[in-house]
Amino acid sequence: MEDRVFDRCMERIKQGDKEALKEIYVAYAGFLFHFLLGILRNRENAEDVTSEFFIKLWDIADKYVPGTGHRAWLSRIARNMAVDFLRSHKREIPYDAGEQGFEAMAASDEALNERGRTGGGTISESDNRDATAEEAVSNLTVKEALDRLKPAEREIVHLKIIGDMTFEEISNILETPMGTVTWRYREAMKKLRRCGYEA
Amino acid sequence: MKRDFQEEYQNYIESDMPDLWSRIEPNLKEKKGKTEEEQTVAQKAEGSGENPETGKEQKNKIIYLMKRAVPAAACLCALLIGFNVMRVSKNSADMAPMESACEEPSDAGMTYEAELEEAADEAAEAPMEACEDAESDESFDDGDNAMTESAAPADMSSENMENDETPVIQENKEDNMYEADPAGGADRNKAQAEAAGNLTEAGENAVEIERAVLYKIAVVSEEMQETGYAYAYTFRLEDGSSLKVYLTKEQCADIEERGIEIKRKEAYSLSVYPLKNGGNDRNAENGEGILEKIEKIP
Repeated sequence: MEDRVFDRCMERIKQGDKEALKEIYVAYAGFLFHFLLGILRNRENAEDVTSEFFIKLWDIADKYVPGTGHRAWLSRIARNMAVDFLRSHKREIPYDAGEQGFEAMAASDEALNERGRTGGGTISESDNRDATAEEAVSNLTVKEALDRLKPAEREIVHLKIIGDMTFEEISNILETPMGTVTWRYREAMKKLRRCGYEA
Repeated sequence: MKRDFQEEYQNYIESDMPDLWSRIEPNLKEKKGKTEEEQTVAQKAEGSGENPETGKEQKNKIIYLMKRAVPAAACLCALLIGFNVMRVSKNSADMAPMESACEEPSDAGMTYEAELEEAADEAAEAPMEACEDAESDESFDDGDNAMTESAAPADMSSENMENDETPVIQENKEDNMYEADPAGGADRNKAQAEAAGNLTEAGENAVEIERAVLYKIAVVSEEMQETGYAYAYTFRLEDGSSLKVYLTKEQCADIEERGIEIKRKEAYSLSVYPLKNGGNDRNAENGEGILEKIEKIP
C-alpha cells in the first residue's frame, strides 16, 4: 500500500470509517502476523497480538503523522506490543514448529553430521551423501527454511523482504545498530541459500 | 535448481493467514468525531466530486473573516462616532462665544424689558395720575421744584421696577444738570440731544412723524439707563413699521407738565432724533430714536 493511500485510510479511520481499517487489515495483516509470529514463536499468541494491534490502530489513528513511513510505524507498534506481551507473560513461549519442519531439520542435521563424520571416503560415496543432504535441505519449505533462522535474523529478513524496508528503517525499529542488522541479514541469506533459495 | 525465496515467502504469508477481522471488528469502538449526518454530507460531497474539506475550509474561511470583520467594523464605527463627537464639540466650542454674545443683549435688554413690561405699563399711567395730582395741588410753580416733584411719579414707576437705584442716580444727575442750566423745555431738549450726541446720527436733524400709535411703554435696560434715558415708548407708524423712542425722566415730567396724556393705543405726532447705529434694542424693528417733541393727536 502506498503512503498516500494509507494516509487517506487513516483520515477515514479518524472519522470512524471501519472500511478504511479493513483495507489496511487486508494489506498488512499477513505481514504483521508473521512478523509477530517470528517474535512470539506461538501462533495463538501471534493471532491475539495481531488482533489487538488493529484494535489499537483504530484507537490511535489520531496520533499518526502522515508522510513518516507507515510501514515502519506499523512495525514499530507491532514489535512493541509483542515485547510487552512477552514481558507480561514472563516466560518463554515454545517454538511452534510443525512436524515436517522438525523432520526436515533432523534429516538435514543428520546428513550434515554424516558428512562430517565420514570426512574423506570415496568420491562417489561422498557425492552421493552430499547429494542426499542437499536434496533433503533443498526440499525444505519456506516455513522450514525460516525456522532454521535465528529469531533476530528472521525479523530482519521479514522486514527487509516482505516489508520492503531499508536497513536504516529496520535498525530503527529493532533498535539495533545498522551494522549488526546488515551482518545478520547476510548470515540469514547464507542459510537460505543453503536451503536452496536464491536470495 | 534455485527457488525464489521472496516469491515463495510472499505466497506462504498470503496462504497462511488466519481470518482475524471477525475478532477485530466487534471490538472497534464507535468514534464520536463525526456524526452520521456529517458522514452523509461527506459521502454526498465525494459522490458529487467535491472535496469534503472544501466546504469545511470555506466555512472556516467565513468564520475567520467574520472574526476579523466584526472588530474591524466596530473600530470603524467607533472612529466615525469619535470623529463626529469631536467635530460637534469643536463646533459647540466655537459657537459658545457667539451664543454668549447673542444672549447678552437679550438678557440685558429685551428679556429684561419683557419681564418688566407690565410694570412699565403701570409706570406709564403713573405720570399721568401724578400730573393730575400735581395740577390739583398746584405745586409746580417753581420750576426746579416742579421738576423735582414731577420726577416723583417717575420714582413711582421706578418703585415698580426691581432696580430702584439707577433711576435715583439718574435723577440726581439730572437735577444737577438742570440746576446748572435752568432753561426752558426746548433748551432742555436740546441739551439732552447734545448729551446724546454720541447716539444720534445728526443731532440737529430731527425727523417729524405726523402720526404714530403708542403700543408699548417700557423701562430701558441698565445699559441704556447709563446714557441717561429711563423709558422707551414704542410706536406703530402708519406704514406698519415700528419706532422706539427713548425718553429721560425729565422729558416725562415735561410731558406731564404740558398735560399730554400718554396712553397706549393713542395716536401722537413725534419729532425724533434717529439713532446713529440703529440702537441696541432688537425690538426696534424699523428704527430707534431719541424723543425731541411729542404731541397728542386728538
